[in-house]
Amino acid sequence: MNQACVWWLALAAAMVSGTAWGQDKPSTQFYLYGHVTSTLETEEDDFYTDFSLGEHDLFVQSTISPRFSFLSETVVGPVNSHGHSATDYKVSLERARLKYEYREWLSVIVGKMHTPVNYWNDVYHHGRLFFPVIDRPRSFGTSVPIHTLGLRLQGQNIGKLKFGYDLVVGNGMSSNDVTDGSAQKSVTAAVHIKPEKRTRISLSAYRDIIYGNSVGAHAGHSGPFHYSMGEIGYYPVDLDFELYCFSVYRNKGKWEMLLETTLNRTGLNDGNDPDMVSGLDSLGTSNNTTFFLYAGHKVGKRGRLYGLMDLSNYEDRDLHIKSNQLAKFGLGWQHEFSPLVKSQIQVERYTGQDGLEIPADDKWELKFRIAYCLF
Amino acid sequence: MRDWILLLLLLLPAGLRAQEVTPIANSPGQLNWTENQLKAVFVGDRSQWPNGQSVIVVLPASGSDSFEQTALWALDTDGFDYQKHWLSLVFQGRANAPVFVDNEAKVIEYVEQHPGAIGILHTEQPPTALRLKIQ
Repeated sequence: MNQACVWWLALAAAMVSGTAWGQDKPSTQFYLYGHVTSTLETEEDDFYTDFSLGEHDLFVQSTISPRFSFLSETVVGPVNSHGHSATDYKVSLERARLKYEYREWLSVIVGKMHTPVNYWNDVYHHGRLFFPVIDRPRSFGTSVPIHTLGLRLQGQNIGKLKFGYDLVVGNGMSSNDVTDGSAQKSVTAAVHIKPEKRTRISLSAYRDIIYGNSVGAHAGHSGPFHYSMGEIGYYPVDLDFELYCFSVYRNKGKWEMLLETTLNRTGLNDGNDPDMVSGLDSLGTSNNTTFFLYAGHKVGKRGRLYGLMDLSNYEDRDLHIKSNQLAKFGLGWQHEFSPLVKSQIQVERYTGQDGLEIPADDKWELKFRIAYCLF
Repeated sequence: MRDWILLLLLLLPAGLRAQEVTPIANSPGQLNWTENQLKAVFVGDRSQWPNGQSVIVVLPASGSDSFEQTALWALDTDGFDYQKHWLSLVFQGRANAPVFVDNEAKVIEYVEQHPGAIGILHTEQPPTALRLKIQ
């Protein structure tokens, strides 16, 4: 019997023994997170306005026994949340995971989860009530693989620096919501420390193979940035996909800040048919970067004035995401009416570099949002 | 001189007096925790007793004076931020939701009845058996 088998048997035995004394009945809580957003957009001489009912997220947390807990998020949201084309709603099971906490330094989690690659994806999810600004960083929709379905080992609050780790093996970006159909799995390794209260510094690495340059439900790569079948520049080749993230969150005194950076490298996988890739004009590995910075200053008891910067740079040799150099700057005001209701108003300037596959933005947007939680 | 000392004690800022807390627990044996380790439980950074048994955090209702004082003691903030803090932790899946009860008397009652439960009192006097001694 090899070492891995012994380890798994020991873990299984520990799980069984842990349930023996967990006799109390489950404690289950239901929450509903939702938001309403209004946008005024001006691009050249055109104006657009809309009111949109955004994602509504039924969040369930259940402490089944002292060591077992369950968590799920079922979201009813616009079919296409990019731009003005949303015409319908869909129901999506965004998280459903069972957690067994053996010790603080080891929990085992199985199910569908958000990949813990950066602070935003690990902490905010679909809860707009927690978003420090109105929109997610642009790396969501391009580089960040949002979900995976698999097995996660987690430890947290270890030692004086409150070290934490997450190791995830799960279905890759090419899989659908139900199954993968491939022996290849995505791997995430993330670590963080919390040297002070309300401070977290995180580092992560993610690796996967995108089969046929086609992504499914877990990637979250959608909209105009992603090559899709039938488009010029789309090649149905297998791609090695690597993502490295560095995040810093700090909330001290009146100041709050969040820094999210990513380095994404995408290149041809060695398993491709040489005849198929020989004619490609985009060989080699792309090095794509994104940089997001938010800083807010508390004003009065419940207000916050904030600014944001969101930059992305995708090279033209990339075969998965269209090349772009885009920038977004914003200034906003947040007011919290209660811990469960808050409003944000934000003015944004979109700009970028021309001459790449994604044309430079040149527009202003004014957005207003009310986000809430019921439970 | 004694009158001056008494007067000074009376004038102690409310914030300082609020730091005097009485931890209670239905715990597995005596602990050797410091106050900071105890605070870690009340901000969701510690979820188990030293023997590995899960901690159940019991808090008085949000909006109560006792909740405000716990927020100040544990996280150096007010009840508003403390409630958001727990809401976020539970949403992340990094902590189980605390148990909320009406007041400190109910905190005592809950802790008495549930092994592994822990609470903080600011006004009520706890039964001696539940009192948790901290370094």
